[in-house]
Amino acid sequence: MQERGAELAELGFTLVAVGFSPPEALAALARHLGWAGPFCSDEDRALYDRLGLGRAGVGRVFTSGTRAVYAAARKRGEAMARPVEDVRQLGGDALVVAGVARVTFRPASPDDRPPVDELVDAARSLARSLA
Amino acid sequence: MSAAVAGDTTPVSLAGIVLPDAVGGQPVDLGAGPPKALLTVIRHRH
Repeated sequence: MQERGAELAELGFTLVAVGFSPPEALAALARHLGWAGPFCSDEDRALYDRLGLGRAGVGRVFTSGTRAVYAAARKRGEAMARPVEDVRQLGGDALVVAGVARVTFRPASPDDRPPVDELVDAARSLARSLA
Repeated sequence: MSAAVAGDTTPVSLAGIVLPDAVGGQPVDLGAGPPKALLTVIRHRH
């Protein structure tokens, strides 16, 4: 996502990450990722609730697609640590204009996130509609 | 792998959602700005 940050900035979009971990844990994650923008902590999951990002059933979390993602990571030699938090909480993405989410992507399972190209295309379309 | 979910264009107000920025330390009022943002909301940490 960050690789497309300049393109998003040209469209006027600030890239903001949000997680439900405590701030100190997210600060460490941001450093690990080299995240340049804001990385917000939503421990009460207020944003998750507002955007309708729910919790998946166990069968939805550990789909064949999810297992394939983990298998590919193992194949790349990436160490897979055990999760320390609610693995059923789903994430998502939203394009926000003036405090209103105008396009919201709500995955049904962890492997269901839209490709970055799709997000950038949606941002471009939204920016064009506002021009 | 399932097909990626399509974007829902139903407007959702983020008024009142104010979250601390774990990096900068300042609160971010998502209902009041930034003017345009792409929020990427993560699942859990490992």
